[in-house]
Amino acid sequence: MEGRVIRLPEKINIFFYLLIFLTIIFFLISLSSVLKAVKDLEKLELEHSKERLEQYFENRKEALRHQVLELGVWSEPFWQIKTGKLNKKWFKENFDDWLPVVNLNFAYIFDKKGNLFYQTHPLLFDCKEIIPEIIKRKNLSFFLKLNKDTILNIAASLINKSEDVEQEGEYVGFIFIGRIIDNERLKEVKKEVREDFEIINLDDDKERVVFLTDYQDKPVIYLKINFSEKSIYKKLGKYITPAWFLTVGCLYALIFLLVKEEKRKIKEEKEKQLVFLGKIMGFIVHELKNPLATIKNCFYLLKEIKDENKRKTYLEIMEKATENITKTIDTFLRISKGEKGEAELVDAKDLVEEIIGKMAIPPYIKIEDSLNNNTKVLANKNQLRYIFKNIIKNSVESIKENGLIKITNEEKDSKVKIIFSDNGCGIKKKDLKKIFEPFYTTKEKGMGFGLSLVKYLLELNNGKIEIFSQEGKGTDVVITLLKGE
Amino acid sequence: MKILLVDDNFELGFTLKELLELKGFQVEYVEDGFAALDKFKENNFDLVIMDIVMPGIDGIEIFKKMKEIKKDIKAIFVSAFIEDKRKEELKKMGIKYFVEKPYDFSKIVSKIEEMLSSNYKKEKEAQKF
Repeated sequence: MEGRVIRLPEKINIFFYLLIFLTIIFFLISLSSVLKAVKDLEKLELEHSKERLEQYFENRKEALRHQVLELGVWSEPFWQIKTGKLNKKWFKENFDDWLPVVNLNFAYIFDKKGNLFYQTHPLLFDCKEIIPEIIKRKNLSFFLKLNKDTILNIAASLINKSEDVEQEGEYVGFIFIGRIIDNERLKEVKKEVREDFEIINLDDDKERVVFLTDYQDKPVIYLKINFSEKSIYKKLGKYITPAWFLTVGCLYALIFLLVKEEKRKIKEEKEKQLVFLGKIMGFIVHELKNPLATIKNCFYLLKEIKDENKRKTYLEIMEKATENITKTIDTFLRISKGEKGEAELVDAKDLVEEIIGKMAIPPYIKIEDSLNNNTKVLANKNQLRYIFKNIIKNSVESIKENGLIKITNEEKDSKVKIIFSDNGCGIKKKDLKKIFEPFYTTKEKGMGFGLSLVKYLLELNNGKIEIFSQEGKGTDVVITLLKGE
Repeated sequence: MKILLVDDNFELGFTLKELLELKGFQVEYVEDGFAALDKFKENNFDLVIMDIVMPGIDGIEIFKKMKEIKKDIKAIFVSAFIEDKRKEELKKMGIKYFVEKPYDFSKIVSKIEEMLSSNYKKEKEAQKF
């Protein structure tokens, strides 16, 4: 069988291509919204980037410094103590009482002499706990009296993203002049600062670390802020544009159309099969009618005629007719089951001669049988007889006046080619394509069954058929069969 | 009554010939259309009984050619299957008598008798004038 070509009906065809076109267009539009989303995400990322924050801190340095001074939280004393360059005079001038200096892990509280008075627990807990605790133990400066929200608001104002600051986070930042640093910078910082200066683990990309310095640009406090990604997700809705729905809709319509078309095809195929079956039935019945009529005639004759010799002839005729019926039914049963039938050595020349001998050939047609003697093929004889008969019959019918049918053979390796050439009316190009379709016929009386069956039978016998034809000039039918030894 | 019988199936043709002869008709039987035409030219037949589908030249073609030779020739067509549409076409051509295989022999005989009587009527009418 030739490969099945999926052809949509013309009307659906246009609709189908239109849908494909629309799907592509809508998809491209939708894609643009994705690209926009990606771009926006990049932009958002950039907003949160260290450059951006550094810029922000840089711009607000003066204001922040002022804020820090106002708040009285300053790392200078801490730095002085840590480095051993304690300036007691400076201390006295600036602070009367207690001085809180806070780094990430510990809150250090120094007395006015600059001695470490108190070191808090690690600040790895909620400020709800730490602040009241500190306030309770010592009367610290007013900064530590600030409530948690105020502190967080200050932190948030630094990065201008109040909603993005994790409210219940592990870390709480307090004092703020700073810049964001990355891992590389942190390594440098680690070298700059003393060993006991804790540095936040920066493995997690989502966290930003604000590296805080005092006004002298010395590192004091790290503030770790978790940016929630909520804002980005919140905005996702705006990227789901109508184009997405249209794309999905078009795809759905396409699938619907294809499924419908496939269903229609299956139905058509089934109907075709039914018609095919019906036609086969018709063909068989047609084949059976002659022997049946013969038998019926014989019955009449047997009833009427008493002559023994004649009666014997009629009985013989009946027997032959019955055999014909059995043979026909048997052949079709085999074909319907796809059975090959027994392959045997068949002398092609003998078979062709037998067929020509039985066929009524018009006197204006000459048949030139140039088959080699001893052209043996391996095939089922009955099926081969049907094949040859059909091809020769077609040739005979294509010749309207003074024609020649030439039968030749070629042998190559294990194959035998038998070529039936005629100079009859030929086959139109458009018909040539459909010639093997069952029930395709250009004849008024034919059933269009012949060549499709010939092809089928040849396939059963490991053979093939090729037809070369030119309208008005003639036809060459080439069948290839297995060579018999 | 001289009948020409044409059928490419020998067994069928042969038995039908025997039957017709049994009924007292004079029958000539040939297997193909070309032989039929030759026979037709040589003899004067009253009726032709023919298969429609035959290899080479079909019954209708033969009938057309016979009509050229003998204008008032009558024919009964025998075929395995004739579609209604085709029957109509044939009727338009003036072909009225069909028998489908496997036929009842009595049907053919009655058709022959029918034709003979119409022939007889025609002859009678002709005599009147």
